[in-house]
Amino acid sequence: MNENVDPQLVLQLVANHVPPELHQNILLVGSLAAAYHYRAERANQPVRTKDADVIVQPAGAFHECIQIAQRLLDLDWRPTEKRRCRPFPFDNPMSELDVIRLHPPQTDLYFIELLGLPLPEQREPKLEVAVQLRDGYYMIPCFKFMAVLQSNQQTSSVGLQYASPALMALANLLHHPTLGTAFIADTAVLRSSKDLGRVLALAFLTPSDKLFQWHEMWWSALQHHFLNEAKDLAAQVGYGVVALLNDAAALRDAYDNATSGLLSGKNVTQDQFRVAGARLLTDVVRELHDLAGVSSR
Amino acid sequence: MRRGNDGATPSSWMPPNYTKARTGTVDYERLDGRVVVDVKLGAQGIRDLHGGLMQLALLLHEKPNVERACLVIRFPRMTLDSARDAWKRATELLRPDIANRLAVVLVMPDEKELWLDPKSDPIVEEIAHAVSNALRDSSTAERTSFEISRKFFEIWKVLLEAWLSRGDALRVKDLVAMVGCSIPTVMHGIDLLARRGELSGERERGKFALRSFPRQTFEQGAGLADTFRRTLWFADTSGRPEPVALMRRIQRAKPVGIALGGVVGARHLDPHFDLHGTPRIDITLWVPDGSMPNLQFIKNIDPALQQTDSKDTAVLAVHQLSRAVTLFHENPDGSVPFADPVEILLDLYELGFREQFADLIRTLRQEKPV
Repeated sequence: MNENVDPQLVLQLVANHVPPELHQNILLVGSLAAAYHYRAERANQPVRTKDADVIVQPAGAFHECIQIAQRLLDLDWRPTEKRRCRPFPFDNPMSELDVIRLHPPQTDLYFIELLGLPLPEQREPKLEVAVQLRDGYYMIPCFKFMAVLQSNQQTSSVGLQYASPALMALANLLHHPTLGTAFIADTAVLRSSKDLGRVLALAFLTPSDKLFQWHEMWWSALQHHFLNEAKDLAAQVGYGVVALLNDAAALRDAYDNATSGLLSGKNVTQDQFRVAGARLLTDVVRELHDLAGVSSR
Repeated sequence: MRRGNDGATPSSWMPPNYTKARTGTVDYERLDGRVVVDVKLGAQGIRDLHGGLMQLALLLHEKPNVERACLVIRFPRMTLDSARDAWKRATELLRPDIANRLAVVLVMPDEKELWLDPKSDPIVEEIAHAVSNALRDSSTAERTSFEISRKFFEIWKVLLEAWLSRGDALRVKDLVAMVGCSIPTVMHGIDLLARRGELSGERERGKFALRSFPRQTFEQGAGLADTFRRTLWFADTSGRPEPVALMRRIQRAKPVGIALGGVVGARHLDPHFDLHGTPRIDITLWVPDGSMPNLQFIKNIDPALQQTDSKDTAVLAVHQLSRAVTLFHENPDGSVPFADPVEILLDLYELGFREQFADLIRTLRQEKPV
């Protein structure tokens, strides 16, 4: 079970625990990064996660992933137990390889999970790359649409880089043009429901003047990272949210996840949550479609 | 003399073989060009009759092909005998080839009686019949409970807009065209304002303007403004009402037929407008036929908006404008236009900003050259 943690404290700890020479390769993403970014809007509320998702930069830097993981293990970082992280003697089958999740030496308050940054030529939405540490093989997941997180990176007060919430939202929207059928392990909750709920939570927390700038950031990132696909990808953005808003059960799951995570303590009603989604479509998605010259269906 | 909802010209009350005149000297002409009609329902005295008659006489002199020139004239404050005598004396002074082609339809103050000259001319009878029908139609539909009616409210708003902008005094036909109502309706409105002492001396020349800020009518009108403007209120259901963001959403959506009013409009009129913050966004929605508007555009602006009966919780007020001419102030940059100053003043009054309301009137009157 995840515990509530202070995102600012966790960032401070990550900065202290990870050797400074590795900081330049680290980009924090996910709910911790978002909770840190919106600490004022969230009135410094803690966030229910122990998972500090870390993308290793630059794109395709699997050698650096290995170096960072090995270095942390050498510094007495420990593989997580509750979330399985064990070495496997072979580099296949991939389904047997675990993601690298490591606790810092003296605390279980958080763990980092290593993700790769995709190369431009990656076609698969999710590519799993086997990497060999001294004790065996692990897996580094690379999500194609996380490429956009290279743009507009933010710098925290402790010097660590974290992803722009606007682009984290875009990455999730690109990854889920529909609700799909993938469930979160051991639950009946659609993965898309959780991820798209996160998008709605980000939109809810974003002040309007900033939200009105998202479409420009999105279009710029799409053009930069997916030059030839940019227009087609822009055309797909938002339909996952449309599907979510039209699926009462999925919306309920999304709401439950969001209100126990980023929106905890905000007393957001389900109607307000739904309105945040509808507003995202009119305030941002419609503008993106206009900018990209594609029609909103 | 009701004006059609299809935007037809006021000639719609005339027989179907008449149209608006191509020249500005008269109002209507028969399609074959052989009959012309000038309508002066705002005449004040003999001078107006003489002026109308001379205008038609000159036209007949210049256009020998016109076989009949008819003056339709209404004197609110003359007896039939006086009007009839004045007409006869004037026509006796004219050459027979002109006088014999002239005709008059005198409309008396109660509008129940028409006097024709010549009486047995089918052309004049046709015109008089049209006038009579139009007066009857308007009397049943528009004259009932006319005081502070919606049409009167529009007439008065147009006059107030002219007063605020130090514009020219308006003729009856101007008001007819701008409001989109019949001539008798305008005349009733003019009479009511005159009885209240709110009209200036311009009236003597067949033009109408307000004497000063019409406080009595304003307070009555403002009290009924929500009804006359059929105001709709919308609350923000997002949990984060932000009128400034709503303003931006409106600018992005650019709905057709709306204009910005309220505090935003006041700041446009007076950059020094003395109010911090924007408590609510007011827009004026043009519904020229007065029908129920399609409110789909509201959701297109912001899906968080939901209609409410509680104006206290509203972030958006939509005031409907049903006159023929919007008087919107278009923006050269293509952004959403601004409503005319009267709508903006009504918005401020309704919002309770009385000091700012009074200041804005002073600003509007002072900044324009006299």
